[in-house]
Amino acid sequence: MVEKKIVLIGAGSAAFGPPTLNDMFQSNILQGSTITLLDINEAKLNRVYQIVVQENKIKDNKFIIEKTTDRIVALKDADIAICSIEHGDRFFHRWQDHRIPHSHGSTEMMAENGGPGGFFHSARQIPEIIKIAKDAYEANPHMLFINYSNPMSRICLAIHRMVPDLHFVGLCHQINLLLRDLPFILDENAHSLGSLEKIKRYKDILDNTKITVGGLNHFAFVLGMEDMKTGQNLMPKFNQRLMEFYTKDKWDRFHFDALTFEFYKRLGWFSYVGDNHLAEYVQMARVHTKYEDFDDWIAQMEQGNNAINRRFERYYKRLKKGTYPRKGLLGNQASGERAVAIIEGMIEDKNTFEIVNIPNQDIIENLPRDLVVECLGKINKEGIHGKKVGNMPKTIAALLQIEASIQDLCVEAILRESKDLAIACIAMDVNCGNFKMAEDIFDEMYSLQKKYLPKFK
Amino acid sequence: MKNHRIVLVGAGSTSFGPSMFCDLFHSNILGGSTVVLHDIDREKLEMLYELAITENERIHNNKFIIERTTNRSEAFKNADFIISSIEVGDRFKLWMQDYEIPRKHGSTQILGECGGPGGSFHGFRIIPPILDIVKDVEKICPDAFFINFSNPMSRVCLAIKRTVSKLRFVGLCHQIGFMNKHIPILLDDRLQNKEKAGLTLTEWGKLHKKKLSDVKMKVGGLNHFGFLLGLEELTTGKDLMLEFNAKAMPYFEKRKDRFEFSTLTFEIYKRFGFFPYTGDNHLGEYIQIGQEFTKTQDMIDWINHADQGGKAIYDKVIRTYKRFKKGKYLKKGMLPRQPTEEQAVPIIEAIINDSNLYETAVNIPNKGIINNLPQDLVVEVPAIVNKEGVKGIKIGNLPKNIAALLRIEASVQDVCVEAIITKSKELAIASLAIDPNVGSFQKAEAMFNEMLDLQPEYLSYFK
Repeated sequence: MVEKKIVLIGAGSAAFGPPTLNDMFQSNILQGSTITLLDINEAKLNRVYQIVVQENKIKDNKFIIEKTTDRIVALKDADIAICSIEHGDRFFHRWQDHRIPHSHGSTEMMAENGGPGGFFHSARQIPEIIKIAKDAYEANPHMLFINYSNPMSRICLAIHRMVPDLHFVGLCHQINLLLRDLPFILDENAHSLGSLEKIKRYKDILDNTKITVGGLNHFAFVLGMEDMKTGQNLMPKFNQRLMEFYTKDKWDRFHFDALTFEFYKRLGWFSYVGDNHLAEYVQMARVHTKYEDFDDWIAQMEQGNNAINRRFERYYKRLKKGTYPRKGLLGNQASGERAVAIIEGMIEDKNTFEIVNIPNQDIIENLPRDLVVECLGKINKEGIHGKKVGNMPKTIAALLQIEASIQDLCVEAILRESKDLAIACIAMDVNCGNFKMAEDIFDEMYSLQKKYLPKFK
Repeated sequence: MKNHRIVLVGAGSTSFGPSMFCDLFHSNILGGSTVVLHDIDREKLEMLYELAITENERIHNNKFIIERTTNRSEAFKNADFIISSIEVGDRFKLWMQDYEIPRKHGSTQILGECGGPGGSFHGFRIIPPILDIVKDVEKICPDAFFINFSNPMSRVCLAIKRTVSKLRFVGLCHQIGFMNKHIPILLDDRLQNKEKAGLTLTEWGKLHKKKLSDVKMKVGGLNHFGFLLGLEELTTGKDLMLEFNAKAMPYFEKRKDRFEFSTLTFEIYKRFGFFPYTGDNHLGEYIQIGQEFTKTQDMIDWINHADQGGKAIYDKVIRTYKRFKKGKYLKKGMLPRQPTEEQAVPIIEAIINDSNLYETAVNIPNKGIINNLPQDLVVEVPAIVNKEGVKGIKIGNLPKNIAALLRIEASVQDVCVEAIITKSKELAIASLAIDPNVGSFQKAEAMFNEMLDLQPEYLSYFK
């Protein structure tokens, strides 16, 4: 049991605070820690706080729960900060990111993290997160700063450049898409096992398979796979089984579909992020994905978020009425997010492996050093150590290098508040490739989102 | 004077051979050397050889020992310098295919010589024979200094660097000539209006030369994709970039030329703040933005213009040869009285004389010259030339907007060269697909297959 001070930044979001708490409540190592909820929206923060206090009561007051709208207060003496903020209205602005560049002729298929739309998302988020990261470093230079906010790679690159000594990691759950299927890919007989045995086999495979990955967030590839018990290289098996497993009936227009498999067929490496994310960064997406599918995807995300909020509201009303359900809001299933696992791994010096976003340095040799890459990280008390990849296969490296070039310029434009660089960045994006279009996109987006964007000059 | 052995590879070319003869004959340092003309086309080689020995004998008092051979091993034996300018097949017929076929399949490329899918096909054809040549250099004369003139320059040089890593080489291009021509005029009003300044043509020429010799340009980028990064007045040490930037737009707009500096150059300069010195036609090859600011017909006209230029030179050489055969050789010889703007001979001289010559634009392996471009890349930068060879001058980081554009092209080059070296059809198609002027595996495959049908003799090595 280690008593830490953990700050949840953006905790007023029903989609962030409660699920993160869910994982913490399952941790015995963190018992007794102080969890400080921080949000700038006091009304939302208060509601989440009340729910969390109630949940904590159900769990025998495992944690000390605090709340504040004052960042300096929250970060004081903190050991860990977990940041998941969204500057502006997550979906309202996301729809603009998705629609406006497209309406001017951009070939980007979905705009969250890449493409011209991803530029504006970055421009809204980065200045706010940099302020937070600077405060975190000021408060405690040894603090672990965990970022969940998107666009992950660009935000992390900005943090790396502006607060270079901050100990940070960016986390994303995208690998779960593959993990869901991996046991059945690696063991063709797993499906025919009895249900108990099937669960056992499933868990056994997941617990003992080490997956080496490389790339950028939402743009990464499986590079290696090893059975940790036997040391056996599982890549031949994985490659042999992959297309056998993913018969067309298993293709899913949001995730593993035509774009992912075209990449796999042409380039020989499997991207585990799903069509919707891969599509953000590459021109080829327009051939293999449908814009309308991603309309549906964003709508589905929005509905999911609304459902979380409605459920939260119901619980909140019952709390107010004094009829809070005995079992509480949180379940006993882990959320799939890895922040708590990483914190535990560091505290307990576990040498576990997690997929992380960290500064490249020399993890991937044929990508720029000054870049934040997604890779396999070894977690122990010394911190997070990226597993060296050496050189990525050249085809993938080329595609990543193109996106890295855009990110380099994107972050620079935002940090310098330079309109010229912003337009250059949008124009250079392979899904734009045109100055006039870039300028039109910029002008319209700036007029719509001015309040949330840097003062581009 | 040491007897150096200088080999011209592709010497049967009427554009390359005579221009090199011209520069060699202007060199005093190289007098007494052996010049070996090498080509695989025996007939053309014989013609150029006869012309070269005639010039050498009649005009230049046997300044050189001139040999010719179609046998590469023989040519390379004991060679000190090798200047290579080969082209594969019928250059303009193939170039037109490089341009047209990808466009037919939906590529937005504008020229197809050194970049875009056309540039890739050009690379696919020409790089394998060039690699055979440099492997022979490694085997037969490993200490020789190798100069490449063949396009696509950056890709050819990258393939050379990767295949024969110890080779001492440089890639040369005369594109910097635009800057040599314009910068003195831009900086000195007297050169803009010689009548007003009361200058005779000779005086004008002298002043231009003087002015040029007093400026030092700093450039950086890739071949045909380089930018002016710095400008210094040598006598005073004054930074002339402010003056350049103040005068450049009015100056170049007045001299707008669709084959030189035009709308695309101006737009990139205006948007990015650094002047691309290679001309619209070349700059536009590497970027998606090219299509926005160039006209299709202009680019077709450029290919035809280049073709006609080559043919005119060819016709002139043929006429001279016919006169020679009739015993009526030109009294003053066939070569121009001024050296060309090509830098091969000055570089060889600087190596021999250890003269620390400042060369404004050479193509050499990056290795720490430009920090924010891949290290395993051949860049166009200034260099100092002395007996150690050609040493690039460190640039540090390029401005991020330019670096981003260059890195996109560098990524395509990386895969293109890998495809050639590994003879991989999959990689070849991938390299075409990754090019932002294609951006589709389907288009890439369709153009590859059609080009394979049209140029099987050059492309069927891909497996």
